[in-house]
Amino acid sequence: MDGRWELEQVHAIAPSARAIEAAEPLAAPGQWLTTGCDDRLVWGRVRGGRAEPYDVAVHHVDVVTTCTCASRQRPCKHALALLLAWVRGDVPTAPPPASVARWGAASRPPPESDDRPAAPDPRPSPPAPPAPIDRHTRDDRIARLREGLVALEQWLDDRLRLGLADPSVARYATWDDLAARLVDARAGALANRVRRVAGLVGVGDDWHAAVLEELGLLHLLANAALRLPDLPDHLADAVGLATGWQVRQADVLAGVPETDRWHVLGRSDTREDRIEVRRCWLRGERTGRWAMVLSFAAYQQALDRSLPVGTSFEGDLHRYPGDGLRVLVGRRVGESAASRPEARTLAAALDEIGRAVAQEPWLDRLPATVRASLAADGRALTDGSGSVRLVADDRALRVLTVAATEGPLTLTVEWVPAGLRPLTLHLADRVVDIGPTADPSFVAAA
Amino acid sequence: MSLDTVWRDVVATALLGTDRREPAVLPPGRLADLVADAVDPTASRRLLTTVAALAAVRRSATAPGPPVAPRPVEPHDPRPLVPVAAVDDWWRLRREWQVLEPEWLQLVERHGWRLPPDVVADLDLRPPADRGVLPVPASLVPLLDADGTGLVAGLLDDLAAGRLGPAHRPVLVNLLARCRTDALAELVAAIERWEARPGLAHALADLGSLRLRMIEHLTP
Repeated sequence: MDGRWELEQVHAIAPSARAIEAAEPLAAPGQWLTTGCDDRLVWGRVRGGRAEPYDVAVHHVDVVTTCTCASRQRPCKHALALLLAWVRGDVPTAPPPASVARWGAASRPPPESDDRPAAPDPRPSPPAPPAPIDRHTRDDRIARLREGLVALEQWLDDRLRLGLADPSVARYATWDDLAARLVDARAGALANRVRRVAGLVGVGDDWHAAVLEELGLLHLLANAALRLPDLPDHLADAVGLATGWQVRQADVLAGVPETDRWHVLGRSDTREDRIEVRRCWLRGERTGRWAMVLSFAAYQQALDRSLPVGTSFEGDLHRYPGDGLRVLVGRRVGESAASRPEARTLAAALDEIGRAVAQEPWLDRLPATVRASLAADGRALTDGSGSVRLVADDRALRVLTVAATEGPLTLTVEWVPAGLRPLTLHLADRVVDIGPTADPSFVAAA
Repeated sequence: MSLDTVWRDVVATALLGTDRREPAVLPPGRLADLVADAVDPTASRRLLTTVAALAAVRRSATAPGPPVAPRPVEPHDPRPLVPVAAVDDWWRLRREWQVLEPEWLQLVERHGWRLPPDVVADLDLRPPADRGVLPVPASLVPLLDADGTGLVAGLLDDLAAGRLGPAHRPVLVNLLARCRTDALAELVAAIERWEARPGLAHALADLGSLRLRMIEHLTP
């Protein structure tokens, strides 16, 4: 089934965390009398509180839902449950019933201006290099985003006009309301970013500076997104992805693959709002290029374990539009242990990271493999080229402290604005995964 | 004026808000030109543009601080690191069969292995109470050693007949964590031959196989 969403997209359209919790039990295939999906629609019948089952349908291209239940909340828990089942591959492909097809045809939003081309046919085209997002499609999406971006700009303006010391900054609703508007405007990634910044308020003595820097980057992104048609294709795609454009996995997988021996060098789990996000960092042996595979788990779901740190495979990765780090894994053959990666000095690694950040200043994580010593205070890495603060939990710091008794360390790290987060300690005959791990009470064991 | 000074001034203005404090004029240079190019109509918009430009510059200009003193290196330890397979056993027994921890550590010591840093960190960071081991009184150890084979036959009979259940589990687990390995191997092999294994027998076989494997991995 092509064009299937990712779990985070379902969460992004949910009106609240409680709605997802209510939907989860209904997402089991046994709950549904019938289900089906095609390249535009998902539909099903589910028993509810009334004698007559509810008919539910979702137009997953235009993101419109319908349900015969009495709930005033949209999307209702039945629509969310149907989407969850679809995302998990529990909904079979089938031709839509006539009533659903009629609704699907009628639910398409009208064109937003007379000269705007019709939305492209969402059905998969024969294999062709699709890497850049089609400009017409992009223009259509810009129009949808514009309203949210203008609201974001106004909100940012208000924050700086009133000041970060204003009590409104400390209220979560100030941020959450904006995030909800951005979700409505289908700028899910911007919404997540706003919620992440909200989490910085009041944390540490210097939180005003940290929040202000993030507000500046939000402004930069919003401005870039508002001028998207004027940007070069690759940058426009990168901005689009950073604001939350949804790219079909099938389109990504239909792109030209990068074939290499890919070494899984690091893993990092982060809770983002209601979802646990796993980033796996891979590096190509021949190209030396980095890549990132993202996976997600909602409450009590298992995170993807298909890319253990310290392994490698010969195979294809497909980059998302914009030629950034995010990839999907295609063909995989010949799995084996990863070899010890080439390491750089701290200055060389930060120089490379700085170049990438200069291209896309909103990037907030980048990988590197470095060889350096642990500082005497145990809180920084140091080598002849300089020192960088470590951002790590007690366990990772303890592992580094023990390992450092033997001399300099080879580490795969994740650069974040606050410093370097150690992910993997490379020893002579093994790797030690010390990246941040998901809260075991949140995710299920695989 | 350095970038840090400009940034501190910008943060101070943002803290108070442009309704109360006019943003400072940037010193001449590329940054000032960039902000001027944006032609923002209000003070708050000008500050926002300044913040965005400064944030982009500060992040992309990320560079290491001056080198600092490294942690001293200790004299070379010639012992080989615990084999990778044995470290995998460690993490498995930590999750499921903590009763085997003392023996794993004894084997490491006895055979002259060096602990890897993740295991040392794990041992250091865990509260001492979290070991999950029921110590076997020293007086019982010779008994376990002497009675190994007879023990297996009796255990198998009782497990097969369903005379042993969850109430006996802690005793049996501690017994299998301490009994002779030949008796243990016999017990595990016998249980694994059963077509239908009661839950308790299955758990005991799992414990037994992990213990046998761990001994094999740590014995040079």
